[in-house]
Amino acid sequence: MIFNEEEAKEKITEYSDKGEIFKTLLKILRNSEEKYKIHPKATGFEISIDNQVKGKPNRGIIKFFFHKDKVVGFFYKKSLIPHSRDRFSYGGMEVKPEFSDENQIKSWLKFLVSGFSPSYRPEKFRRSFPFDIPE
Amino acid sequence: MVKLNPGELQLDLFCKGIRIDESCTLDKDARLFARTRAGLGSGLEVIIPGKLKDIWTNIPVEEDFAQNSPYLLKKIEDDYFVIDERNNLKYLIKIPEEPRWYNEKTSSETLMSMIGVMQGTYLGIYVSNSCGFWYYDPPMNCKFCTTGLNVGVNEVAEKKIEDVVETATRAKEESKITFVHLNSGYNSGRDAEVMAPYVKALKEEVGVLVGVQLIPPRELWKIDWLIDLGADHFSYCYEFHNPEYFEKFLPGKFKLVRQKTFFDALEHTSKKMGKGKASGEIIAGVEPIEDTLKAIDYITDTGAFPTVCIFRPVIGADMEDFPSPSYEDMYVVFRYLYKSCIKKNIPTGIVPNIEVSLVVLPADAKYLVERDLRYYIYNFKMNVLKILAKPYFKYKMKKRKINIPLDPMEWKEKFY
Repeated sequence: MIFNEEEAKEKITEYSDKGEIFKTLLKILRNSEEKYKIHPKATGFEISIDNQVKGKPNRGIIKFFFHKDKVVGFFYKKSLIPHSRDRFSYGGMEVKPEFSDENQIKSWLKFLVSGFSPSYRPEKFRRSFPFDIPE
Repeated sequence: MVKLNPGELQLDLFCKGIRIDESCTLDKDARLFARTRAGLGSGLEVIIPGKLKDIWTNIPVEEDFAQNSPYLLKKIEDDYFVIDERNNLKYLIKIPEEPRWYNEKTSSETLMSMIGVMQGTYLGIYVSNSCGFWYYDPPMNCKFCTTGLNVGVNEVAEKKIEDVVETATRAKEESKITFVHLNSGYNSGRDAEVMAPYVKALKEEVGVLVGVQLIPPRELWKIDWLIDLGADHFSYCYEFHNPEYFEKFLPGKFKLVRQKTFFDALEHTSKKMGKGKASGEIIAGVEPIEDTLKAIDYITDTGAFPTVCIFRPVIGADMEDFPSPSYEDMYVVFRYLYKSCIKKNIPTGIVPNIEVSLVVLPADAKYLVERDLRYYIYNFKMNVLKILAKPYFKYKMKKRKINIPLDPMEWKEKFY
């Protein structure tokens, strides 16, 4: 489920028209038992989850944004220090906007649910990007 | 309970990290937290004042183990204290303020702190477009490292030479840096070529000491070329002395570079430049302690300077879930390190104004040894050397034209 669907309505509407990937992703999020949050004010389309990993709140975030003609999914954690601009990257993936493979999208979300545990790292996952990731 | 001395406190903070109390106003008082390069800089920069010397330390704060640390950073009135909650001992520390140039932009509109950051009292810059090991499928990155994860995220992906020069110039003006440390990942055997234009530009346009940390070239003459271009110091990070650990945790270095290449470069550079001008960089806290001690013996035998990092299981690294090393083990390592420098007369603490926060410098480890006759003789020699070396460093920190070609083959034909 998306627990802040109402709050993120504008963002959801904006991205629903940006490719099959977002339609499929939103369908999976809505049908899931996990509690996902969409960040209404983030740059790009950001998802986090309300669960605990090793007894602490899950800090994982997936940021989707467009780079040239591709959609990039960037997996990261924010710093614990309030004023820090550090982002702790775990890598990500690049796909075309028409991408709609449900199993792969589910594997990304599983990785998020695990708090980015290395044992849940999805296949075809890039560890590094040779370009700047927007804040 | 006896209070730890500054060197002991530094070691324990590296091993255990620190929690930050709500009383702290680090947004106003501290440098920004900047996880660049391999990831070690993500901590809190502090200065632990001491009688023998002040110690700069980058204390882990973000990692899981730091959340369980017995140490708490607290602000009481205008001062910062490290409180050991096991015994309520209180240590006064200083928080270095953020340089103004961190928030200035280069002429190409890049934020200077995205080009380089202070790591102690020197400027650290990761010059290459990430590390080639990360782009293999599967990746061959070193398992402790997050370099490939940081570039483009916390640092700009490509560092223009002009941006590096402008940033270093501001850091020299305001932060009084004497040393710029250039760092690069794996560049498919072109590591010296990637580094060269930055070295030359810094010498010609800024006038600072320049250190290079690079994957060593198999063609050892390229080291000589970089020396001619102005490189003052070389670091070779071979990380683990035990060949099994080298293979297991450093797949790229094992398959594409080989441990022997590091040893050859270290020996060649030390022979060429003299004692203390090359560093063998290793990580303590992963391989057995005996291997770390062997590494210190080997590095100091070549005349090089042992730079030992305490293993930090940084967020996002493949080794994120590994435990942070124990204080007791690290105490053994750094005591041994300082004694080895004394025994082999490796110069320490000679260069003006270089304090390193990411590692325990040999000079920091003087707090860990007994002060016997050898200690005093060695320190007397170092103090004399420091005075005698002043004109040399003054000359080295002057801007000067480098009439050396940036094409290594051209240099080889003319000068080698």
